[in-house]
Amino acid sequence: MGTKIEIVSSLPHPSTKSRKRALWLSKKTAELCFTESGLKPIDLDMLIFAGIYREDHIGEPSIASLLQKEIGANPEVFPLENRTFSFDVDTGGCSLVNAIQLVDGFISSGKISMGMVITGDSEPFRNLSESYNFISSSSSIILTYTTENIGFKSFKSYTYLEFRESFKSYIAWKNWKRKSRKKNVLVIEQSESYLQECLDCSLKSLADFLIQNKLDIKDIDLIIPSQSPAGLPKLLEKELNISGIVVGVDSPYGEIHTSGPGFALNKAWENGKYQKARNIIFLSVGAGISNILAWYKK
Amino acid sequence: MMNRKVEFESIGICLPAKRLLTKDLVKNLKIPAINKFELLTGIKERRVCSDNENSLTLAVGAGLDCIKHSKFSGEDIQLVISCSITKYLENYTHHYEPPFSIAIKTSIGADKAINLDISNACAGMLTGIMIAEDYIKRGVVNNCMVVSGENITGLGKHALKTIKTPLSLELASLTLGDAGAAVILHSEEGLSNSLAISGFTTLSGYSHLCIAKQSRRMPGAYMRTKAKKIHDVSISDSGPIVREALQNSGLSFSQIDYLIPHQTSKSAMISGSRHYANYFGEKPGQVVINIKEYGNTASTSHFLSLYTLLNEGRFKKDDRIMLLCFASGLIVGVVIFTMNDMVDRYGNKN
Repeated sequence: MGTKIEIVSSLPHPSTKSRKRALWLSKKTAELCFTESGLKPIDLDMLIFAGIYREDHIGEPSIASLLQKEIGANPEVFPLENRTFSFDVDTGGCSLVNAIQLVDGFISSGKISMGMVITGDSEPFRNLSESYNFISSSSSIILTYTTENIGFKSFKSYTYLEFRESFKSYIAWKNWKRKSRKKNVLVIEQSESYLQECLDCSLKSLADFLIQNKLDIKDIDLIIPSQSPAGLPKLLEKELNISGIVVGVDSPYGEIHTSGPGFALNKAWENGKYQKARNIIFLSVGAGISNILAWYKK
Repeated sequence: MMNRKVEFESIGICLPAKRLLTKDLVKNLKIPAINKFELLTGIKERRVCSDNENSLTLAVGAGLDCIKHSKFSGEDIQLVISCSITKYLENYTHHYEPPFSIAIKTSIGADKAINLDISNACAGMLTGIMIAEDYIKRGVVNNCMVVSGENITGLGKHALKTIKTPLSLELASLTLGDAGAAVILHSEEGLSNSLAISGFTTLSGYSHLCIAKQSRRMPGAYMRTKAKKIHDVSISDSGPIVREALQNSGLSFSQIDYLIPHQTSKSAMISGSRHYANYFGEKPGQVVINIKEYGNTASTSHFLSLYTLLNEGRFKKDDRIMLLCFASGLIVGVVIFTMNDMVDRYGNKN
């Protein structure tokens, strides 16, 4: 018994550049999941949105509640036996795996049978950002309770506080492009060493996670990593001295942020590697520097 | 493991010292009936952050106050969940990454705690409690701090510049107050009662009724609320959910000693109380209205009310308390719990 990954979707295709905004893309990936799986929004118990950058920097209500309405997942109180609860997770680059962890927890407790995690990012105010290099993207995953002997076996979080200053993002009221008028500008500050630090932290976390779960790297068939900072999957593969198990997604137009692990999972799903894999590690990394790792066994 | 009981162990708050009277807030608004605003809302004043206060200082202050009333030290805390809508640092600089919970946990001495940021409008802290209870019951952690710092009165500043009529969608922004709140949940052997968390539902068909976004014309955000509509649907659609929560707890509405709804405005809470009295055919012991000096403090409102009443010595052990959640989204949820030995640790006794 466990939490099963039913389906995953991601948009846009990484070789294309989308000008669509986070909510639109998120709605589309969610709808794709339901269409391809045959599952119905009416059966959705929980919806978690795990994206960070969203149009107009919407702070309230949760983006999850707006998406719940868009996909028609029990927008009304009746019938009482079909209800959906939604909220947002904002744990940076680790949000998607963090949200999966929460859904898995509620499924394990028997409180829900089906949960959905949706991520989406897009530039909040178009052309009003500094050093924003993330593409507009979204990924959605449906998770269900299963009696089969598959599912998430463990999750673990790591934080490396010494690197807290390596990546920061915030909205600052500042003069914009030499004009005297001020605007609310999204500022991304990323140190030159951030990629290396993310790599080092991820390797350290992975080593500990394998030991904690009595696994060897040779037991692992797939690693589904974050795709940002850019270049992380290739470096992971090189440092681990293994080939073919770390899933990297080429993204020529910019980095894939919170949806990165979803894109990687979708790629593995489409090329058949996911279906053949038995032990899969999700390895997310985000500002902090934080890692959240998950072991999924089929 | 799933039979573990979970209770609130301690509560903390942090309030800015600066007070802003409602009459001073609205004195320059030239719209009809604005002089009745204080009467209708029941809000005489609210706390507002000074220049050196913000969402983070409020959250950290509340966390430290919570620890002060707790048997746990900062380093004992195993999970920190940050739940605020606002993540402001100085000058309404909204902070995205790294997660706010990292800054909070390091400031309260909980460096080794797992941390998590969630956001769910004014239901943030109660959503955090739902997650914390699940983590504790499954044995992932033994305790958790759920914390929020809301530096939200900036929405009122934007509203003052845009309100032209009493029908303005930004009028509700004038009810807001700044506050931080924190609560520690835990489990241990021998607990006689457990939190009952029930019915958390998002009626997303109404998610458009209250939206807050970053302003394009000034620092901070603005919020547009269809206040009457959101009140009407909250009250009309929540009855079955509250009934179900009571049934799950084996209680009747009149067995609830204190009902603490989300603190919005006095008229709304009185209207809601009357509706529930008709719906259930009975009343709880008391409906808590704690808005006069604080306004609507968003996700912190239930815990600010609990803290206020604890400090006033109003609760006694074994009182049954219902926290009734209403929030943008539209979220409805119920938490029922029995007051425990916290009564011995607050007020004059502390």
